[in-house]
Amino acid sequence: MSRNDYLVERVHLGEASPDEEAELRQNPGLFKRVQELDEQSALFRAAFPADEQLQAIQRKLHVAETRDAVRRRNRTLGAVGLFMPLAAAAAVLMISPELILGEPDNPMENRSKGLDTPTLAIHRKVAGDAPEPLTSGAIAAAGDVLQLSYRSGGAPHGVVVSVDGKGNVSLHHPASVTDTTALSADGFVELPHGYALDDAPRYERFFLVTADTTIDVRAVLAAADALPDGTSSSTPLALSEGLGQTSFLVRKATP
Amino acid sequence: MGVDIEAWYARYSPMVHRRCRALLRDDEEAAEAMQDVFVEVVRRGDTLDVQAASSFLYRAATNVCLNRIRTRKRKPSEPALEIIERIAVAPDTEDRTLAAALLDRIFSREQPSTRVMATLHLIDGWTLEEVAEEFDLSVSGVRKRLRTLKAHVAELEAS
Repeated sequence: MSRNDYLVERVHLGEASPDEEAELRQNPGLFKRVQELDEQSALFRAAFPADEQLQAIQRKLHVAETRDAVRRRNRTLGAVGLFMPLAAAAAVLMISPELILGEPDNPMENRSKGLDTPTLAIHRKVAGDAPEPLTSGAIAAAGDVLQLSYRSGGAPHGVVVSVDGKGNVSLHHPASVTDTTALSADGFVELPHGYALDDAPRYERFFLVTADTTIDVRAVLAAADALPDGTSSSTPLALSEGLGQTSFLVRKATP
Repeated sequence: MGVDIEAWYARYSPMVHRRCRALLRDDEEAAEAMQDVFVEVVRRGDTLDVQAASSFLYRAATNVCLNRIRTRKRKPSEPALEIIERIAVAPDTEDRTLAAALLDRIFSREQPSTRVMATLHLIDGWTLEEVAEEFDLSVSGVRKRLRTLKAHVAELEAS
């Protein structure tokens, strides 16, 4: 991106200085590019829906602030000369970020608005160590055991499914298609069982589908099954009206 | 009181994504980097100078992408580092005293990254004068800072 590109961006945003605007208007080619940015931005927004991106930002913020809190906590423990194993302390804190971030567990609360939405979180279980929080797009390998958690964001009902790179669909919540889809409203809630990744290629994409009333689990599974092959991150499930969704992508390491 | 992240995202995300894509050359990874930039926005909160949002985001995007490039795992069979990778792995030397660094922390002043400057100059083709103007530094000051990276990029700079 040359300085001209940067100038075009700033003029497009209305943040260029008068001198910069004058400079740009003298160049018809550059001025045309300002107008083209509208189209490019629309394509970007279609490919990367804002709600999904904002949820991903929220998850990353949650991870970052949890790590910060663990570091602060560890420094404090060290300063007072306690000999409690720090790894164990970190493990407790990483498993239960609510302990250090407080309830409701929303890092963006009080600093931004409108982001208390249903959220998926995934930790990778690490033998003998604290679970590793993953962000959407993280890379995992066959055999990794993932712990899924959700935050209802006020939605009383939800379904968690995943689709792997072979197109296989798994149901994570509820335990079966006939069980209740009710969600707990208590911060992040871990699903009862870990999920071991198999050797399906490319990715495993997890979806949290939410609604105000009970959800037809079979319809969600069918929507996941209908995703075209190779859809790794941006195509949403085709769901009926009234259902919300968020997704979490885990990319598979190539052997 | 803080940043309205949804408004910032709505306004600036296309620009940030374009900047990241230009450096990373991958749509999906650019989206990941873009998310990291907005995480930084939220974490900085009130310390951000909202009068210069696009400038901050552009630099932050460049820095985030350089960090991503630096941490990419390379395979032995891959060719020698490209110039952007050499910049990414170069030390971001700050020619400042400890006291100056402390003052920066106290007053939340942002120190310009030498690696970001090098990217603008060597990758994006900005002149030294343009880089100096963007970072509110003298041309000689920019030249001096870029000298710290010269050993890392010299051979590719000449090519």
